[in-house]
Amino acid sequence: MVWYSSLMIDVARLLRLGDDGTAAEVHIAATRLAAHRAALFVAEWLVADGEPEPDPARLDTETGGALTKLATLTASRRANFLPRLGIRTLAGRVADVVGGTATLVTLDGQRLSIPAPAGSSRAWTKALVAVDIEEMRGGATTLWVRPAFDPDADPGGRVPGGPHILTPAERERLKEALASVR
Amino acid sequence: MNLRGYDPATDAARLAAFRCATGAAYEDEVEQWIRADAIGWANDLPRATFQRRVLGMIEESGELVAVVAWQDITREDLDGIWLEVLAVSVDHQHGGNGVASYELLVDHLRQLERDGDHLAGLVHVNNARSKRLLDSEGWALVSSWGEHELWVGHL
Repeated sequence: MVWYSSLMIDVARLLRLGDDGTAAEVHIAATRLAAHRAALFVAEWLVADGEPEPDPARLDTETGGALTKLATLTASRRANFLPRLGIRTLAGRVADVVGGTATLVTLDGQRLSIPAPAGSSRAWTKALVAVDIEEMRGGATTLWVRPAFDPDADPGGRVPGGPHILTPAERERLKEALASVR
Repeated sequence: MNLRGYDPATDAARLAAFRCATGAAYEDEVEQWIRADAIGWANDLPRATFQRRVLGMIEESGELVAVVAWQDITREDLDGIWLEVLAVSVDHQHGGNGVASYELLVDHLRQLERDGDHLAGLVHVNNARSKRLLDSEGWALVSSWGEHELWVGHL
């Protein structure tokens, strides 16, 4: 098994599209994240305890939340670049797998049929997945499906709740506030 | 006024008896968390290691003025310090001790190794005093989460 940052797939996608400038920006973001403390904790766990098919939930638990941190940072970096990536993204849970087709229920309740990922149907049923939909030249559509990570909320936190990626509007409010105090 | 880390040998009983609530339900929740959960939170391995959790005591002349708790920001896609709690004891409220405790804490956090310079925390929507303090220190309301609001500042 190979684990890679979805940002590096974006670099390859952008190079194929001829957007070398954005590819370079995304590569810088991916490189910075690879050196992040969270990424180091994840890498150390994979070396020491990772099996051929590492369980992301176990990894997150045993690193104290390093995968949660890395996943939220990666998702927000991707969100910044999304308008230039030429893809649509969605996330959801696989409701069932019949033959070669998986029925996906997205986080906002839409049902969508997608080609079932390779592997046993049992492994994918109920799984959380993230999907990138990319329109290719010639009218073809490529779906990039990968397991999505579903972190648990911290049971010891003073206020319950799971990880949260700032929305564009929240990020804008934050930027304005920080600019006003400098 | 000085800030030091929690010492299990001497501080457990003081934390169990800590009082900061003056009647509001959200204050009761904070007080209860400090009395019953804060030590477990600070020792919850392996989270406490990766998230660099610290439970701190702010004292003056040997008296416990405030309890603080912080860790790395892991709930947000921001890098910096998550302020879990800053609670001034009932015996030391309304004397400028809230601002003094906050400033002592921030001075300390500036010296720490950290992933970034953001500060973040959740404040109850009805906690007007804390919101006034944060606003005056340059924090901003970023979003609402039910009964709490996410406030973010900068070191």
